[in-house]
Amino acid sequence: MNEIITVRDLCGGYTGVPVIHNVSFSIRRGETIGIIGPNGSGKSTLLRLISRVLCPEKGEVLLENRNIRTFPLKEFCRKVAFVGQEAPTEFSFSSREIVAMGRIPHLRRLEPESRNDKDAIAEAMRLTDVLELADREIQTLSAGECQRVILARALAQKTELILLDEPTSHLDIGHQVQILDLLRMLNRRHCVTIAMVIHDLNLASEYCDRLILLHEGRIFRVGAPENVLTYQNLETVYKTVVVVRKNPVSQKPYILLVPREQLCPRN
Amino acid sequence: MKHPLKIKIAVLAGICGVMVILGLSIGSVPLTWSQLLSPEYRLILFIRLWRILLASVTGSGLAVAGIILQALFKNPLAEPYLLGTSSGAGLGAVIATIIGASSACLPLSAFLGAIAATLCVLQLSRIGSRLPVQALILNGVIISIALSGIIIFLISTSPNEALHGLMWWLWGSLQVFDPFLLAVVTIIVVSGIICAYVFSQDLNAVCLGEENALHLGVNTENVKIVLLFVTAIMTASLVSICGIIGFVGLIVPHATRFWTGPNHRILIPVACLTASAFMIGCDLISRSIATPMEIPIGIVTAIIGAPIFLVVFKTKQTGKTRP
Amino acid sequence: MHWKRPRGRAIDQARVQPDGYSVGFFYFMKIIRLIVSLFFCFLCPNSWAQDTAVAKKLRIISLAPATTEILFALGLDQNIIAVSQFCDYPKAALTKEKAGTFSAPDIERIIYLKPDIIFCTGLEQAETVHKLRQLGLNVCVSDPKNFEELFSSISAIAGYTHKDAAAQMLIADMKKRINSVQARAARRSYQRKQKVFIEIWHDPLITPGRPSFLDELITLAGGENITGTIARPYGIVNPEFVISSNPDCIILAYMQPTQARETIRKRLGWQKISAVSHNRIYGDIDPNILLRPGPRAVEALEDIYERLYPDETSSKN
Repeated sequence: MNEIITVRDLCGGYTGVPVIHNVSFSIRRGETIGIIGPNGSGKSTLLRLISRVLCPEKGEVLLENRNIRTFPLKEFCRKVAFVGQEAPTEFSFSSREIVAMGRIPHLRRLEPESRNDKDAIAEAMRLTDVLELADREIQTLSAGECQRVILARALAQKTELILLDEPTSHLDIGHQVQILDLLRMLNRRHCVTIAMVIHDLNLASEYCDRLILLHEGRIFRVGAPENVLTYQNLETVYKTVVVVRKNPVSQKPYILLVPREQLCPRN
Repeated sequence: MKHPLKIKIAVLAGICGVMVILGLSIGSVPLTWSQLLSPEYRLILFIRLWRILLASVTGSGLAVAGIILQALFKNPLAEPYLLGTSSGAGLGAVIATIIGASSACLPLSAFLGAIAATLCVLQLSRIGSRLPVQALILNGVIISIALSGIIIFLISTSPNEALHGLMWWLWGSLQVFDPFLLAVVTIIVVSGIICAYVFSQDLNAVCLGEENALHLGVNTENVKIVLLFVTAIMTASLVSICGIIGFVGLIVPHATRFWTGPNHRILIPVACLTASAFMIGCDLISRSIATPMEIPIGIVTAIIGAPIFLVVFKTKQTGKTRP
Repeated sequence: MHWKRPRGRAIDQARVQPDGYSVGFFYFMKIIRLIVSLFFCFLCPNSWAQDTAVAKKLRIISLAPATTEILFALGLDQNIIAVSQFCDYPKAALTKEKAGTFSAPDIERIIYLKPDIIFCTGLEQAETVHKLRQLGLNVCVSDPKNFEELFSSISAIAGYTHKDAAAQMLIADMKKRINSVQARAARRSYQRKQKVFIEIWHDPLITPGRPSFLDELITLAGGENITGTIARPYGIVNPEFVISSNPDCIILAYMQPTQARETIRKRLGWQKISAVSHNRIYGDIDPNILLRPGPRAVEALEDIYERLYPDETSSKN
């Protein structure tokens, strides 16, 4: 079973209005796949259809060749974790308590944490480098620290697949690289499959094995970054002029913006 | 971390014990312990015991209901009467008094009124199989206001002077002398608290947001329905025999969260202890400060609760981290 | 042991046509009855002793000011062990132990005092009655809405407390005074009936309706309650109704006399009212005797009569 997630003819959206139309693709085990596209193209919607938050109107999502709706919820969450944009919460949980909640899919209601669970939590916090934040309240952390804690929670879940919704949008470049390097390490060393919605095309290019470019709710292109991130594709989808070069270090495509006044200088 | 928490719990339990002893020994009639335990004054002993039990049960029930609603709605102002239970109970009692039912029927009609109002709110807020939180809060407030208006209309235009005697439970009263009723309500509330404790893991997850809870394997819609049902039954049964006792369901969760943190597995039992101590203390004050008059318990909880709430809130605002 | 408050409308006291013979006979029978009872008291010391012995054993708590007055009038001073905070008449009641307020009884104290009977009213104290009965205490409820019910109530209380003779005397005395007032009012039947407005509270304007004690007092005194069409014992009335009814006199029955007559005079549109322009606003009747259905109700009746017909009183003086 090389494919962990298979999406077939998926149509869906928020109540009533379909945002995604006839989307079909698959995510291979062990790869890092990036979902890119302009605002409103349905990236987050697609991710939520895969993570079971939204119900598809047509089509289906298969996890290991089985419809995700047939899984009991906790069993599904033992296989798939989600890292979203955490809204600031009213409740002053400590970082450790937040990470510990990642073990909920593995615990029955009144079951206390076992040695196994405690190890998973500690490991997750070590990997994301939040051990010293363990007793600090989540509300007192910076955006970058908060994002790492949420990632630690997803890691504590010990799943085969992690879905991430714009994990780097509120972070500075230092933290962006830090998080994505961590994801890459998980992917390479611990064989965790990563699927993330990402805004920044250059980061997508650097860190993803494959990219899915969405345009108005449909798949425009799927493939390696070199094939997807061409100026023709990007100009069609984003409706702006871009120049694509190669990153001299990694040889991956690198997108340069072209401001309007450079195109038609006033003279 | 564990040590301070255990000490806090021990201190709370100690305070609770002291309150119980004070509650038994202090009353409008001064009695020594030997007198109190003698068969001659057995009835007075029972009355005081019943009051302490009811104070404890009421406090715990309202506090846990408040905890559940604050977690489900992620709103710090959520309190047990949010879903229209208090107005519904009031309307049930007023209608029963108007049609001339005996005083013995009042608790049942208040209970039915409370349940009817809550069901109304739940039904109005339902979209398909989902219960959106915003809709619940809005509909709860609307129904509460509407029913309160009807109550005042009925009281002002009704021929029945007995309605003026109903004012007692606008401010709460712990004088319930029916052992059967006490037993029924105690069983309901204790079951509700146990149910909430069983769902403490789910409550923790729900605090992170409904979507995040779903990603952790917690079916938020099911949890909402079960816990709202539990809260409604608990609050309705308490309001139907004690009247409206405000503030407890609002402050005790916050104060306890401040001491123990928001983990519901610890929060729920400690809140029960805190609420019991608080209510027994308020009951003590209500019946000993102005003898032979008895200040309605709802007034005492408000007068004492408000400053406590302000202090807790202020301390939180100055950004103290938990020790 | 529970005595139910008799239901049904009050039967209007038949207007007795006074003539010398019936009045004389009435007084004669009273004296005979008094002599006979005294005779029996002395002749049958056992029964008397037994009666008083039983009466002495009775421990009574009264939570209703009106019932307290009745109990004192029946001579049960020694049996009353506690009263409510608002029982202030007679003066001896003030010395009694307090068992709570009118609406909030001190349950512990009541139990501690081990009463044999507790007297309450039925309406505002319904919850109290229920609670006390749940605790196994003996509660008697009385809620007279008119004189007939009041007399039944006094008889019933006397029945429980073995004070039948005293009750009969009290009732006879009250009836005599009522009849006297009625007779005087009847002599004025040729005149138009005085229209009376009784104000129980000023904001909102609360007034007694048809089934209330105050309405009966006014009717017996020969007046007409302008709000007698209200079917409830107490109702809120529109000030415009009062102005349009144009009462001849206004009687204030506040529990606490806060409203000065001046304030009423200043009310918008009230200057046109006959009672206001002729300065017939009376706030000097003790509200307690107006509002308590007890032995002093006859005093209230006499006071109302004097306010309705001040010329008779002044001419007498």
